[in-house]
Amino acid sequence: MTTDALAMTQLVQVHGQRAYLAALCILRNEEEARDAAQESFILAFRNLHRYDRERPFYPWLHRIVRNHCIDRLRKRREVLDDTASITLPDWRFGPEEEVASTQTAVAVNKAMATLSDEYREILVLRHFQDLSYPEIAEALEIPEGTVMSRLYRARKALRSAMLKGGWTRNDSETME
Amino acid sequence: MSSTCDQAKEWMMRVIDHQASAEHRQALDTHLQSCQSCAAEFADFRHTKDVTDRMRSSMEFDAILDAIESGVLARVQRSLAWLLSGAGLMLIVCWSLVDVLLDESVPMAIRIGISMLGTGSLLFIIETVRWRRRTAPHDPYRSVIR
Repeated sequence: MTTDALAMTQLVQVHGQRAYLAALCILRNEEEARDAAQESFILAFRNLHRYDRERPFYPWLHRIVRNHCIDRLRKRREVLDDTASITLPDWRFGPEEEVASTQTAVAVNKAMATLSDEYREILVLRHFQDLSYPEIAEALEIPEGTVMSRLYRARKALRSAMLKGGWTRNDSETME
Repeated sequence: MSSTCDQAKEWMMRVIDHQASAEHRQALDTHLQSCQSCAAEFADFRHTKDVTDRMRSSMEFDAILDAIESGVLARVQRSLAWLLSGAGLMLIVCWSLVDVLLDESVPMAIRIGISMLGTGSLLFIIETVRWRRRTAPHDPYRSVIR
């Protein structure tokens, strides 16, 4: 294996999961998300000279994935509406919490599916991918203040969608 | 809603996400003691965060990562193969053309024709590359099927 191929493999191993999830949230199709993630890695690799090595890598890669996915949507001239049949990442609790938490997991996943792309994206980055505020700001190309205000609105929307779906706080308290 | 409530939204997010300074935490505590609606909202946010913190994606990422990795490597190899084949073809064509042009046994008309064809092709390639570099990144109509 050449040095380039080895470097590419390492990048995919470290950031592949995040890149794939980001693509899946936008494209909502597993096969296309895999394809888009592959192409984004190649684009990133070709443009490595533009990457500032002082900064974290993932936010930069996220921008590439995001722009690439938006380009793909434009090319197929398809605007996904919220009622479309969609594939989104399914979030679950660990096996030790499995029985009591099913209702909450269903509520979270259903609520996530009803959110706008903007809210879903920032929640995935913060809650499930654990990016810091500066990293989210860089990934989404928005100021840090906007990250906080968008997170605030997204969390409110998530909570209200969960409650609207019939979930109550007691559902999750039974598992604590 | 007071302006402190507006500020409290930011403090709440910072505290929930463990990105708050001691001053932010102190300011939020002080505000929550005097504002019941913000206190209730903060409890809700914290609860939602606790729930999602314990959740993980149910996908089997090993297979997906393998597929991405092998796909990326295959694409890199394909583009390298295209590059090498293209360069090799260009080298052979150019070498043969120069050979023919310098061969005095070939009629002059054919040699002039080959020179014109070669120059025309070169200009065509240069202009196409220049056009793509100039317009492609900014072309607002590039998604339109022509």
